[in-house]
Amino acid sequence: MKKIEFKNVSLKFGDKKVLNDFNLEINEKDKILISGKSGKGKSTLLKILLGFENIDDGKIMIDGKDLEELNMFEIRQIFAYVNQDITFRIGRIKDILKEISKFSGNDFDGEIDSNLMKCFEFDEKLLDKTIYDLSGGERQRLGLIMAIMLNRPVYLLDEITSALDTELKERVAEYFAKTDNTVIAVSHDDVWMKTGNFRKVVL
Amino acid sequence: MDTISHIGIIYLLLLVLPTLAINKYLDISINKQIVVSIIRMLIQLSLVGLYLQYIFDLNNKVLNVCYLLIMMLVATISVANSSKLKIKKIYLPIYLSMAIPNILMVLFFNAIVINLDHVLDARYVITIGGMLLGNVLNGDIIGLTAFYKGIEENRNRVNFDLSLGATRFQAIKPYLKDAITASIKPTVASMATIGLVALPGMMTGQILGGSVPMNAIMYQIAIMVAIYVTRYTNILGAIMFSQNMMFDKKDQLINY
Repeated sequence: MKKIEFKNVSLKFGDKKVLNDFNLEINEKDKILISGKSGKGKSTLLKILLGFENIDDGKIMIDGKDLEELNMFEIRQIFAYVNQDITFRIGRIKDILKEISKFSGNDFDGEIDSNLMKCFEFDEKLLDKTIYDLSGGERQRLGLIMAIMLNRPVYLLDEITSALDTELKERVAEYFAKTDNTVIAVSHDDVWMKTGNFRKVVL
Repeated sequence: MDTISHIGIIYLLLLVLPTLAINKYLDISINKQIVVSIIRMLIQLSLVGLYLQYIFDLNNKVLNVCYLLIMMLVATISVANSSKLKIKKIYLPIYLSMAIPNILMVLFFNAIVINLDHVLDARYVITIGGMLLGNVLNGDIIGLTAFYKGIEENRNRVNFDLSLGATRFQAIKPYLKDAITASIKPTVASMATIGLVALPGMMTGQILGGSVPMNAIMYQIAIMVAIYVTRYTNILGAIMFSQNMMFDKKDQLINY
């Protein structure tokens, strides 16, 4: 996976223009921070890549190929997508992670690296609970740990630091700034820019 | 067996009237449906009584199978309407999932279980097929309603799984499991209590018709197992044949 391009992309929700002639080129290993006011289409941008929103105009190119002509099931396997409130199935987190590990495109075996849990202050005992027993911050940490475990070429991170404290936010941003993978983060937090590795795109 | 007179039926129907009055009092708006259903039952069964005799006398193999296929068509329409599915073109998947396991089971039942010389004998094809169909109809309504409601209520979860690279099947699996469970539960429960808290219709009918109890019981056991297997394969088929219609070419859930 080398390159993602948004070429003159436009999208409307009803009468409201969300994206208007939007252009962006993302190369392999790029670190991109998407920011802007609410309703400007930040999250929508990620959903377009995942095939959950259809654009009205323009093109999305992945490695020079039109997204419309690619197999969405295969495309999704290059992304590790986490949103601000991960929508897990109902059940014990451990069991759900096992299920997720069976999805295609993973190195993940369902077992979470305990160092990673320590690094992001996620209590291992929580894996025996359901997602609904976790606080907002715990869910976000679980989401980002899972995304890392999936080890896909591109991280799509949608507001994954909103419920974390400042110190942890910085740690998360630092982690993704140093990764070898491409990162596209949607966030209001300025910790991402402080790492010095991110390119900011304002919508 | 002593016959039931028309007046006997009328007496029984009179007992329905108080329930209609209570419904009205409690504002349960189901009276019209009850009346229509009872009238339909009276007409349908009276007609069945007339032409079953005719069909049994003819006992034409092709006609017997056609009769079963037509019953399935009516059942399909009933399932699609009762489960209030908004997906268009769902009739074909329901019909196929009903026809294939039912016909196979009737053939298996007649040929292997009760060892008939003529597996397409009207007296067996239509009665056994009809009994299976009645049960399958129920199972389909329960299962399909549970499945599509599950997907609708968990749209975000299905999409989340898809976004992580789940196949369609992996994404719908939790709701498929729930639907199969909901669909077969009543049959499983009735197998556990049969004979203790209820004497089933088929067995009672045979005993009233003069069969020895042990023979009636053997039939009942056979039909219960056949119902369970048919109901299971049926709901599985109905969901698997219809689930593709929930996704568009980009593998996202459509608004059905």
